[in-house]
Amino acid sequence: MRIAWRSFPSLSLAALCVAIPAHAEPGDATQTTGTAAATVAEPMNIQRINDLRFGRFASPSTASTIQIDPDGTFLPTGEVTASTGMAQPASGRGPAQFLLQQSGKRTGQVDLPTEIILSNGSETMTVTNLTSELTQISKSGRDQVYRLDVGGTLQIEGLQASGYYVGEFDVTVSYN
Amino acid sequence: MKKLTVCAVFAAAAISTPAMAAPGDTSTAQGSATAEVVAPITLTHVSTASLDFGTFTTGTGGGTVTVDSTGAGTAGGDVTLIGASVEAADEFEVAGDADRTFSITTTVGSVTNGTDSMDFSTSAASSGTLDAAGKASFVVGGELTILGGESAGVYNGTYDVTVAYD
Repeated sequence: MRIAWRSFPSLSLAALCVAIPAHAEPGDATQTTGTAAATVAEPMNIQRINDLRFGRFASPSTASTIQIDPDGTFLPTGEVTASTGMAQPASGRGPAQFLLQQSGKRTGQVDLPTEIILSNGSETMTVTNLTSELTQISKSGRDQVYRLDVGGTLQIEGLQASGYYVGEFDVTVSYN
Repeated sequence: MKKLTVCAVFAAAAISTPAMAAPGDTSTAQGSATAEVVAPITLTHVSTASLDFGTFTTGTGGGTVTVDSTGAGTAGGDVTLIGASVEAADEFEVAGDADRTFSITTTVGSVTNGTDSMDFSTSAASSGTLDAAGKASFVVGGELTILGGESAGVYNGTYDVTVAYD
């Protein structure tokens, strides 16, 4: 999955002015000082601040799903719904969160995987339908910080083996 | 806070940037997705057990028979348990995730002999804890209300028990 965004603080990415020599008279030596300027863009930076957390639930007897939206909406379906009231781990439930920092007027894109495989060491579950939302949370001069929230839908098999499941995924941001 | 519109197509957005991505123009972070699956909680009625209010005479004014968690019965009011009466508490077994606590809920019920009926309440611990092997058990007592003058006979009925992970 790929999403693109555009940031709007109107500072030029790179301005370059080259000195133009003044007209030289024959036999004269004259010199004029020109100016040059350049703006070097800072690399875009993304940091992980939270996991995509589906929380704790009892293994259902039939296939079920748990959907977590970027805004934190929690939507279980099927038999697993019955056990979602149980005590949750300290980390709770919620979308993965990343901080994006950038400077200047840039456009870019975020690449997410199409699915995430979670494993407890022997059995697996899959997260599908990854969704994301980008929110600007601060802006100071040229510097902007965005928060990227990533949700998805966990596919739980009937009689899914118990255990703690974890899976890694990469989120890449890039300038265009 | 400003929310940016996410564009599905990126065609026209790259005007101000070089076509070639230079080193430093991408950044990757590794995220994690996590979930914890616990064994389902199952409740089994011990087939040989039953909440048994024993055998008694109702008297004219009725009364109660109370069965405690040890299975001992106590009559109240005009009700008299006969000498051969055997009362008993009900028993349940729970299986699930080791060391996890759960709640216990029991409903009221009624017993009938087809002609008359009597209501009863139930009493049980409000919670339990599964042991290291993921096992637990609990008993259910109750109190039967007798109005007096019910017909003689064997009365049967049911009630519901629910367990849920805390």
